Amino acid sequence: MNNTLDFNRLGKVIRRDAMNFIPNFGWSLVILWAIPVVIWLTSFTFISQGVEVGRIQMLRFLSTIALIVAPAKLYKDCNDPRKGIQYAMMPASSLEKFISMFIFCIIVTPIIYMVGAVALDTIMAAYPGKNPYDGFIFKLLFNAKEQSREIVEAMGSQSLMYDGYLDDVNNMFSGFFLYFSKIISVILISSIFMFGNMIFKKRKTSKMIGILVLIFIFAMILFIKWIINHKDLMNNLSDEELNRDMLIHLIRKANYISWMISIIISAVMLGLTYRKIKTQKY
Amino acid sequence: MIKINNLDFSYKNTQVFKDINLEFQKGNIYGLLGENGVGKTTLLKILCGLQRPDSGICTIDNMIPSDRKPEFLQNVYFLPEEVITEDTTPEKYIKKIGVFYPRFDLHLFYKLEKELEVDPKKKFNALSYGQKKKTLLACALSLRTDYLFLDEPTNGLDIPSKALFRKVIANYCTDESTIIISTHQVKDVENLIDPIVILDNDDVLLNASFNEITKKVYFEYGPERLPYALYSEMLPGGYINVMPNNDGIESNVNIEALFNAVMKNKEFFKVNR
Repeated sequence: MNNTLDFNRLGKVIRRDAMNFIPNFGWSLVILWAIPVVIWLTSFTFISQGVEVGRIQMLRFLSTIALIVAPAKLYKDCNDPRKGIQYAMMPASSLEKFISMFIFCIIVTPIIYMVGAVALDTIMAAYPGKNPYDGFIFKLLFNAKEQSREIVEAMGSQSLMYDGYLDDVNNMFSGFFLYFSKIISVILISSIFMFGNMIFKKRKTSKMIGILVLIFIFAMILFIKWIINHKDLMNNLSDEELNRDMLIHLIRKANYISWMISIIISAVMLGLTYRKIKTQKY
Repeated sequence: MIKINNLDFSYKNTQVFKDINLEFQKGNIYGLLGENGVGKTTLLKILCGLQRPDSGICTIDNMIPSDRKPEFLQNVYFLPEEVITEDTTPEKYIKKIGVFYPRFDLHLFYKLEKELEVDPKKKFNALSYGQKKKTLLACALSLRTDYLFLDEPTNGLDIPSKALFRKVIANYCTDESTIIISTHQVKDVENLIDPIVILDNDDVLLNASFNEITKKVYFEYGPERLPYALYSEMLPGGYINVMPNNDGIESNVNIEALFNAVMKNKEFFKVNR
C-alpha cells in the first residue's frame, strides 16, 4: 500500500470534501453572490451607464473575500481538539488531505465564485429596458489588454507617463504575464489563510488579517526608514534618468521581484500547512 | 498487537506517563480504568496517533500511530467520549466515512442500528444524546477495524441501552479485534471486559486477565470485614473482602472492589504484576 499518495484514496478525500463544500460554505457564497445583485438593484435609483470596470473590480474584490474566508469555512474543525479528531483519523495520508484542501481553497472556490458571479452579472446586464449595467463583463474577463489598462490606471502613475507609455505597459501586462500574476495572487492569498486556518483554533480569519496588518505596518516603517536613509539617492534621480527604457526596466524588475516574493511566501505557507496537517495534536 | 515500551508523555509541565510499559493482545476486550485525570483518554489518543509520546515507543502491528499512515488509520477507530455529529443522517454519515475503511459493512450498520433501536434515516439533530451515542457505536463497529478504542462509551446511555451496548460489543468482537474501553462505570462493562488495565498517576498499576487476577486475590462475600483483607466494603447484606490468594481459592472478580483494592495497595499489586 502506498502510504503517501494513492489516487483512489485521494479521490475519496476529494469526494468527502466536495460533499462538505455546500453545507459548510454554501451560505457564504450565496451572500457574496447576493452583494452585486443588491448593488444592482439599488443602483436603479441612480442609473448611470458604462460601469464595466467597476463591476469587474467589485467581483475581483468579492472573489478575494471568498478566497480569504474559504479555508476557515471549509476546514474550520480540522485542528479542533474535539471536532478535528475525525479529520485526523480519516484513513488518508497528510499529503492527500493537503492536496484536497489545496484544490478546494485555491481552485474550486475562485472558479465557483466567479462562474456564479459572472452568470448573475450576465443575467442582470441582459435585463431589458433601463439598466444601470451596460454591456457584459464576461467579454472583458479574458481581454488582457483592457485589464492591463485598469492596472495602469490603478497604479496612478499618470505623472510618469510619456507618449506610448500605455502601449508599452499594455504589452508588458498582456497575455501570460497578466494571467500568471493573477494565479500567483490567488495562490498567495489562499495559502496565507490556509495556514492561518491551521494555526488558529478560533476567529481564524480575523486573527490572520490582524497579523497581516501588523506585518504591513512593520514593513511600511522599514520602507519609510529606508527612504529617509537613501534620500540623497532619490534626489539625485533626475527626470532624464527616468526615461522610457528605465521605466519599463523598473516595472518589469519590480514585477519579477514581487512574483518571486509571492511564490516564496506561498511555498512556505503551503509547506507549513502540510506540516501542520501531518503533526497536529488533538 | 499493541506494544508500549518506556513511554513518557507530558502536557507542558504535567507528566502524565513516566516510563510505562504495556501490551494489548488481539482478541480481547480491555477495560481501561483509573481515577480522573490519570491519562486514560490520553493513552487512547496516543494509541490512535492523535498525540505523540515525548519518548519511548508505541506500536500497533509494528506501525507507529503518530505517523498516521493510511494503512494504520484504516484499521483503527476511536470513539471519543463527547458526541460530535454532523448535520446529516447516520446513514449518509456512515456512507461518507465508510468508503475509507476496506472492511466496512453497510448491512452490519443497518443491523446494529436495528438492534440498538435507532432510525438511521433520522437526522442526528433529531436524535437524543443516547441515540446519537448508540449510532456512533454502530458506525464504529460497522467499520470492522481491528482496533477499536472507546472512551466512556456508556456515559449518557439508559439502563436498557447499556445492556444492548454489552450485547453488541460481545457479539461483534472477533479473535482478530482488540477493543479498549476506558470507563468509570465499571458495572456497565462487568462480564464484558477481560483483561483489566488500571492506570495511576504516570504509571500502570495493573494489566492482568481475570484468570491472573484471581490467582493473586480472591473475592469473598461475608457478614463481616475480614482481617488481612486488602480491601473491604460494606454491601447490602454484608461485606465484600478482597483477600490475598495464597491457597488458590476460586472466585469471581468484582471489578469495583478490585479497583479500590488496587488503589489502596499499589505496591502489593505492582510487586505482584
